[in-house]
Amino acid sequence: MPIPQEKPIKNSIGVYAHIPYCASKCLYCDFNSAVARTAPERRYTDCLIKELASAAKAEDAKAGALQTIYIGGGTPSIFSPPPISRLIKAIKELLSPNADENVEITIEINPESIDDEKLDGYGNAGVNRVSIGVQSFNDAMLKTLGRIHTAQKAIDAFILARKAGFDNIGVDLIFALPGQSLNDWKAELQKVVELGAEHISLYGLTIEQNTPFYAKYKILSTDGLPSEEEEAQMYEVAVETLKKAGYVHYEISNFAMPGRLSRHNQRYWYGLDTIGLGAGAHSFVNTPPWGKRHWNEKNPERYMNLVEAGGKASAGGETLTKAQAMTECAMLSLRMIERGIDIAAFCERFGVAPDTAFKNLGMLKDSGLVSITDNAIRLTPRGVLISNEVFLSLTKTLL
Amino acid sequence: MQRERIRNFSIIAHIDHGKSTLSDRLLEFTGSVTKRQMVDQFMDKMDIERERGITIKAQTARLNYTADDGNTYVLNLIDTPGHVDFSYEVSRSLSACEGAILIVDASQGVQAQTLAHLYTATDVGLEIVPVLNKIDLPQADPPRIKKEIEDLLGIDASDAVLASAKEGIGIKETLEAIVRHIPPPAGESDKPLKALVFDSWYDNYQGVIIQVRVFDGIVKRGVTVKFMATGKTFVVDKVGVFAPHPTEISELGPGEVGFVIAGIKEVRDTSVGDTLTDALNPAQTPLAGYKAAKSMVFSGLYPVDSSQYEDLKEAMVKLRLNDSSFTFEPETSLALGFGFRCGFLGLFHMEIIQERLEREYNLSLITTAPTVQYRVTKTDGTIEMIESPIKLPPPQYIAKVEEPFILAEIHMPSEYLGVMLKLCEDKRGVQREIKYLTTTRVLLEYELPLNEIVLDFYDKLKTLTKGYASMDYDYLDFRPSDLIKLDILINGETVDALSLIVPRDRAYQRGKELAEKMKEIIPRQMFEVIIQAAIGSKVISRETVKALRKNVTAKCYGGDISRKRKLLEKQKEGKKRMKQVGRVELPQEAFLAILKVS
Repeated sequence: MPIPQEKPIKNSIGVYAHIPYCASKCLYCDFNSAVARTAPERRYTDCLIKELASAAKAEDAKAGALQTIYIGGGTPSIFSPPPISRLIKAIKELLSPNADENVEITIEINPESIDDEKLDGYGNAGVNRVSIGVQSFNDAMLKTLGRIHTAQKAIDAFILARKAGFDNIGVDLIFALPGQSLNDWKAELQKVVELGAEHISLYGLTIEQNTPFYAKYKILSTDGLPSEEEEAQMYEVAVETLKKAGYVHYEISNFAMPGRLSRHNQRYWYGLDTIGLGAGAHSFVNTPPWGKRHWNEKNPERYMNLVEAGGKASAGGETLTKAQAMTECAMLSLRMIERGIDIAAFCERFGVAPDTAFKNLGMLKDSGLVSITDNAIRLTPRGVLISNEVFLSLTKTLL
Repeated sequence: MQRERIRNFSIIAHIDHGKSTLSDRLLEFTGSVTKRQMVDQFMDKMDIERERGITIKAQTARLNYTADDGNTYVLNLIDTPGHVDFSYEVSRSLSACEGAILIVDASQGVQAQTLAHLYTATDVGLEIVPVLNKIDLPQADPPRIKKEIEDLLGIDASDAVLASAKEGIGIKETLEAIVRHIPPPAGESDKPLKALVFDSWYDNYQGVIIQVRVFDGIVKRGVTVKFMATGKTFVVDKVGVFAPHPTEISELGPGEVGFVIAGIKEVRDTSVGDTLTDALNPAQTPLAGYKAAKSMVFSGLYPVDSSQYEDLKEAMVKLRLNDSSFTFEPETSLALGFGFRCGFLGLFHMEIIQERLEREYNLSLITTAPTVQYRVTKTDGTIEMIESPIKLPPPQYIAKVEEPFILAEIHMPSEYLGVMLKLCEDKRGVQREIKYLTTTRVLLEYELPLNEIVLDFYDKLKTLTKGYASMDYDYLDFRPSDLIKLDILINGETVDALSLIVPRDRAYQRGKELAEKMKEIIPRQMFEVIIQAAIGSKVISRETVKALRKNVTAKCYGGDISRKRKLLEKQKEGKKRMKQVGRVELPQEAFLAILKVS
């Protein structure tokens, strides 16, 4: 399979298709997911395609060539290859009938819902990148998280994907888990490096409201959760280990071998157009002056009813103000560790220099939280760890 | 109006003993306000008053009541403010009456506030009508409370009305008692005009409205009136009464209570307690008892967002139109920028003003620690009055510092005497007297530095005695004290707005407590925050607020983006309550930390 080019392209389009179904709900998950023994894959896929057909007709979507497709969830891999194939074909036909082979097409897969046949099927459908929701290589941790697969099953899934010909495999891990020690975490990192994943996403466990974890670890007792200091050390050791192993730390939570950065996800951080399909999906278009966003009905059943009735399922939207666009630009650009805020691009887009717009920039630099060169503003390692505070400090002076 | 059919009365009560509720019932019973118009506590018109269950401005209502003797009487109810900060206003309102209803809670008994007001009432010669309220409560004990009233106040309580304003019990009996026991007003209509100004406020449409009680003469439209203390003259446009809604009438004669509108632009031209007379035919002497309002407590008010400075100024000008005891002048702080040094009657008055500025004018304010006015004699012999620690001269230029002392009367059940004595001693008090009023009630008299009172004395008194003690105070004199300036440094920089003037022998303790309290109040930030308390260049205490270590959003794709941005926008609103001083963000409470030190 060819290696897609790495950088996102302006005046292009990315498509995100959300498949909200899961075999079971994990204890920490607040995603838009629905537990279903048998997902209505045909009906749902029909809806995705119908929604796309109306979206493609909209003026906003005619921005440019298709660059990426990302099928996420939920658990997209509970869908069999035929509907996935149908979806990919429809996207290409509707948006870029002449699209070359360079479109990055990702599907998220879960270890328990995968076999070699399925993987071959996805590959034949055009998928050239898989992202495996491993979360942990430790059975005790997996159990804590409420995952229904074992560590061995995750390793098997990885090997199967490799055998199926995928040369661009991503692995997701979660750290700062209840009961996890720094040494436990180091072992996880060791494992993922050994496997040779092209792409690694590391997410610090976030205990979201309306999850069983929230009740257990926020309301009842915080016992067992690593301290803020331990959590910071886990992140630091991860950055150090993965860099040593040759990975590029290109976004706060993302690492990749050179040439294997996720083009689709970079589109979000560059602020490029995305068509979001499916229940709860968000779409963003760079409509002048500052961009527009809309989002779909979250409930899968209602989503399908709306699309079947009118081709659309929009539940809300927003037109960004200049200050909001600046806020998003700063926050998303700074998440990209190496790129940061491109000063020239910022000036050109907003007609104001970052140090004029963000009055606390100098203070943040003096405090060692950001670095400023002639071209770019970046988070320092200390700044990354408290990036939410940095973003707030930067943007609070915007009018 | 027949003078013999007028009764002017006030209601004296401790806070929570039911004054507002009884006023409401009297209005309702006499049909002055229909049930439908009735919002609870009709007499307390400001939102703050209703929420806090207190009265800030005096209110009056004219009630028509046909008594059992067949005659219809005009009853003028003059509602008085109910807080220790407003004692002078109370005394003026009482001077407008011939009698007062004394409400005593039938379970709690006589409280210090009641006693203090009652003394004022008897001083101005009012007839007292006792009413025992809340007799419906199970713990009510009328015989015991009657005896207490007789013992403590020397009033015959055998005829006391038994009432429950909440349940509507004893309302008619109260009205009958007013008619029977309170004498009609004296006064002669052909004498030169003498009217007592007992309240005034600014109205956007009418200008200043003053409330008066006429003693002699007549005031009506077209008369040129003169304020005897300020010497200013105005031509009367309108006179009227509150029934309780404002109603214009042709004239106000002897014994009557009502309002006068005379094209007055500023409330400051109309000091409470002043005497209104006829400019062409003036009275020889004013009514007795006038005192100019005096600020006792001072603090800085600064906008959190410095662009709100002009808005704050405008709001304060408007507020002062209505409140001549509130003063302000521009002040600059290195830490907080441009703001104002404000004078208040007391801490409570300060809170009310700040709350009104924030609420009614949509401002976000920093209030600095309250202080009193110090008299500083410099080495060159000149005397300066200092209301702000920022203005205290360096020690080498100071020959002497004097601070104001007050005489506090604290009234409490005897079981709390021990803790109260300790509190007064801790607060540098000088004991004058311990008086056992009954076997179970004590009156404690202490001379105390006002500065201690404005900090947390009142709150402590309430906490230590479970709310049973109460207090009233009067200004005494200035006394020399060994006072020094205590500075607070944040990350090595002195924050002038946090400086305090403290007694030298308490400085170490205060500095330590204050730094500890600041550590609790200041949230963790992106960097370490070091709090130091210092006297001159000597650091006496140091606390550290550790830097935040990790606060990262793990995932930021698709729908996460607007969610995260909205969260930032929400947090940004929260930050508007914080003042960035140098790099450090200080919450509003940090500037009043001294009030929270235990």
